[in-house]
Amino acid sequence: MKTSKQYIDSLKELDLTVYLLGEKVEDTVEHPMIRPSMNSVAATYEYAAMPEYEDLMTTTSHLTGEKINRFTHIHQSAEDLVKKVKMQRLLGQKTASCFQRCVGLDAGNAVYSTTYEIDQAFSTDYHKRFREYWTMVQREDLTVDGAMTDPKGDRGLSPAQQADPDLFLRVVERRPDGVVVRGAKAHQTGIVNSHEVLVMPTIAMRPEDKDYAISFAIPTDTAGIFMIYGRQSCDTRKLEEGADIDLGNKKYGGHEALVIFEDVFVPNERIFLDGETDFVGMLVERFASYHRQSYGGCKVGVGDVLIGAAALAADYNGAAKASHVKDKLIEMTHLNETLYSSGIACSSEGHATASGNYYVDAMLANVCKQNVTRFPYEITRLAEDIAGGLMVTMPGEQDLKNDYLRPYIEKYLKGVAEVPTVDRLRVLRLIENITLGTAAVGYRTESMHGAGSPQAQRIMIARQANLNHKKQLAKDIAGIKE
Amino acid sequence: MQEQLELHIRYCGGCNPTYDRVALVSELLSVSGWAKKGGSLAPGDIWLGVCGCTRECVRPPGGHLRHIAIHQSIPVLTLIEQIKKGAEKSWE
Repeated sequence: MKTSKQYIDSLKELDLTVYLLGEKVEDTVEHPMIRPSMNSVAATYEYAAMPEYEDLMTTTSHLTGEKINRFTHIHQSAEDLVKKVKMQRLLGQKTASCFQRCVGLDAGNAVYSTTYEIDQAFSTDYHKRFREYWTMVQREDLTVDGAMTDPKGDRGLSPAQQADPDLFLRVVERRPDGVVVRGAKAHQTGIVNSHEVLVMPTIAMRPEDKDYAISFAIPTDTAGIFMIYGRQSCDTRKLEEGADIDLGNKKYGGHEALVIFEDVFVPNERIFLDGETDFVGMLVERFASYHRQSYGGCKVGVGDVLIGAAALAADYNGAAKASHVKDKLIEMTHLNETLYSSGIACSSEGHATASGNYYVDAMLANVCKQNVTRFPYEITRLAEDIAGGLMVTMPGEQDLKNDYLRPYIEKYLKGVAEVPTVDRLRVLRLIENITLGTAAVGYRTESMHGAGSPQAQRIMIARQANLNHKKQLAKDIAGIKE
Repeated sequence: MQEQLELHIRYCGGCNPTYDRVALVSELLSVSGWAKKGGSLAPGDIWLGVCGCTRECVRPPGGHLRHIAIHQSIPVLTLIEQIKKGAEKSWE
């Protein structure tokens, strides 16, 4: 297993091509806008090395028998699925950010079971290839970006029907030793902090979409791959000299990027699906369900921080004893724990796939994510309610550093007498960060669209609703014979 | 003529079944000619968990049982093949 320092050093060895604010980034690790997101991933290594978190953060590989970081684990039981969610809540609590490493874990487990079933059907050797690949991932303790979302162009058309054929990533050339792919993956969480990218198709496909039915994994610095870093609200505050309070969360963050694959070569041994369109739906559905489970952990951890920040703001404002404030904190907690309960439920109801790894209960995972598309918005609304308008009207850090202005700010923005004004400002900036600053990308809009937009979950819920059974129950009670 | 097997048959709670579990088991026993086994479980016994969905709420107790779980409606001949295959497995 890597230490956090070894992880950071390993990133420095990558030769990534990243553009940010129109410029090519020379040093992605040290760039002030990227660094906080890298710190979040580094935390997944740091906590794995701490004895008090060892049980959650590490486990034993079924592939090698060696101790591994749980972020590289192929789930072997329902208990593993539960521990995954608990680990994610922990990391959310410690970083108050998206720590980015779940997506590769979810992709790995989806590809593991799907390749097994493709091999059973077509006598291919994808599963063997994937086991060898994932053994390397575990042994080297790599961070893997799971890349599913294509740009998709006209949503009413299939991949093969698009006016521009590159709007879904596809094979453009076949060679004896591999394939050449072209296309893009959007919203790629953590790609700049990842060693590898594990690509999957984004929607179920028909036979005519054969060239789009491709799954593979390659290093993120493979020739032809480049990334355009996504902007976040308030992101350039990180570029301000000596920025601290105004960042809300100085150390941690998350990121997404648009990743372009400009005629990228993929060797045969790294291809895990190629043209088996019948199995694309299975792969997409499994990845989506695992990732919808994930949100029942990570967003809950961030929610814990936000609830704590709102409670602190109430303390500092002298409003903690007001009954409506207490009630709002109860409501926030209720919503947050409801998210957690569905994350735990879909895990504990998990079952073995044909390959032997464990898969979440897909209905409950989709219910979990559907709740996540709603509850964080209500939690943020209540946090803003408790925080007060000062969260978005208060002076900046530069004003506090001005000797003339500082006494006035400290005097007039004071809350309760015993709490320093600067602490009040700090907690309000943290709430700002999560509700509408850089971390809002992860806590709000990602809660809406990450792991699939709300309608995607509703389709899955409808598919598994088993209405005929429910109708029969009603008929039996009502005495309806037919 | 099928090889004569005896099965410990256990049903899940059936809160959300996606098929008629009782009908499938009845067809299985009728087509295969196999028998239900009662009494306590012994090492090597064949344990058939009849689950209404993938949640697999009924799982075998610890011990050296040869177990097969059903999650969804499958053709009875396929099920017979699965059970025969499971019966050939050595104790785990």
